[in-house]
Amino acid sequence: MKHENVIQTLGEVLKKLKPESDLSMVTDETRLVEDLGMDSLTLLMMALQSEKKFGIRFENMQASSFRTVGDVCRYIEGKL
Amino acid sequence: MKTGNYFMDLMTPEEQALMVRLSVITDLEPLCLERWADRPAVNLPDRIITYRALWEETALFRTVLAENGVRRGDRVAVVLPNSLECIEAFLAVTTYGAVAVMVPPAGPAAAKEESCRVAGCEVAFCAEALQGVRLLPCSADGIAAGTPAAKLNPEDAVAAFFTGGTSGTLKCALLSNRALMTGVYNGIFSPGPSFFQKYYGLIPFSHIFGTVRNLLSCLQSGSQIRPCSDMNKIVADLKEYKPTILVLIPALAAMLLNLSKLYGPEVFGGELKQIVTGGAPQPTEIARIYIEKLGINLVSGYGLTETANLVSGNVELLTKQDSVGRLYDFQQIRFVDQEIQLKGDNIFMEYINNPEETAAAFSDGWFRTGDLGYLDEDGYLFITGRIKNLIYFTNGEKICPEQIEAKVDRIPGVKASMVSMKANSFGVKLLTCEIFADPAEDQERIRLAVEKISRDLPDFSRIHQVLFRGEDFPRTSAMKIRRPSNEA
Repeated sequence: MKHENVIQTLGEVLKKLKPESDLSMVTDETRLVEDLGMDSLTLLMMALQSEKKFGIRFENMQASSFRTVGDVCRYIEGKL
Repeated sequence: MKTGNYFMDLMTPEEQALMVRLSVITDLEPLCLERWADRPAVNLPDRIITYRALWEETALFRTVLAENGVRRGDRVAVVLPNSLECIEAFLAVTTYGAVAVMVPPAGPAAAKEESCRVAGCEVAFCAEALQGVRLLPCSADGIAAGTPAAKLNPEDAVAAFFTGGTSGTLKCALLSNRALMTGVYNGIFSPGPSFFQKYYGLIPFSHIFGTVRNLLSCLQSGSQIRPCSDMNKIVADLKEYKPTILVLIPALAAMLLNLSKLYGPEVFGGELKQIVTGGAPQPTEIARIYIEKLGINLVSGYGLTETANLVSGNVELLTKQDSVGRLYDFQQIRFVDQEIQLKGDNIFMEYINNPEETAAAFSDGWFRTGDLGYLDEDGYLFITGRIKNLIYFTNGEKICPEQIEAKVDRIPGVKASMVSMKANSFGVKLLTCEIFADPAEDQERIRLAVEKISRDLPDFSRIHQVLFRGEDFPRTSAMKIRRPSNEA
């Protein structure tokens, strides 16, 4: 799966968690907490929904250790 | 002489002897005439009105009401700027046995018409035409004989004031004679001289703080007042009139402090001994400058329109910082889930024509202030926030923005701050701290200081955005920051 597709699919996950948001401008550098207002609960939800979408498992995962959208994409790509 | 009563003990024995608790406003007239009939009551730039003259003119104003068919119990709107006419209209309506509905005179006619409609006023003292309201003459010229005051009971309604707080919903709180006069009595207590002072009528009389703590506490203490109808006249007025006491909201106290930096301390006229603030939290640092550098005692209080203005007063701002002080007498307090609830002589009767809001304002007969707080071990009340300003997060957590703002406001260079949920460029609502700072200040230094404060907060209440604004926040007529609705 290409990086653009991963970021697009992750964007769909994030949109479900933040339905009021406009995520068309999300990039690798977009920060999860500072820019998207995610907290520990929404980060966990992001991980759980990503598992389903990408068919992967977040092992020993500390969702809150991800800082940017790029960090999550790279983690997912490493599991695919 | 120590009486064992905290507020009474602030006064000298001579002043204690002058304290009288009235239960109806009509008792104010004989009290004034018996004790200080020939002292100045209202001080205008071109003439002095003694207490005797004030009550004579008030009696003529009562004739205006009688001749215009106003009946006891009718609600009469008083839509006048701070002036002699406003004072006489208020005193005439209330001592006639009608209800004075104090409507802010500033703003468009439609807003005043809406206020009259909400309060059910068919007649008004107002300088401009109002649709659906019959105007009464704002002068007693040509009236030959006065009308005696009515016989009132403490439970009779006497005055009503609008309260919307920062929510924007217009409600009109109706007060009984007992509640109003309880507020007036408590308002007189102060550590400085309390009687025979020179007040300046800066807060609009349409605001309960202006009428109770400024106007009526002035009259019941034999003091005089200079009504201020135009804010542009402040500097000239203070210099010429030389007030001894100022009743202000904290923002005005801060503004006057800035004026004193520009013009020197003589901007206050040279005789100012005391400032009383209310309506918003009083920053300690402003109080410290007044008290320690200018030798002007600054005291502060807490209250709401629904509590006849006064609940508590703090005369020890430098030692009991951030407290709103000790509770005044004649009321009981309880805390339900931190909410301050009150019962007592100072509590309002109802919101006029609004049984739903009235019912919601009370719980088992206790008035729900909507403020959160606690009493410390010495009996000092602390406010930690307002229920309606709480920000609720989707994870069920909630925060009180004022608690963060109080910390941010202490950062040097910050003039005002507001914490709210605000959308960023992604359309995501984030906990945001907006700051109005001195333009000369280093914004990066302030931003870092806010981030430091934020790091010490629980995760869910951390500030995600710090925005700087070039001008002060929009404010309500009481100079409180107008808050957006806070949905996370």
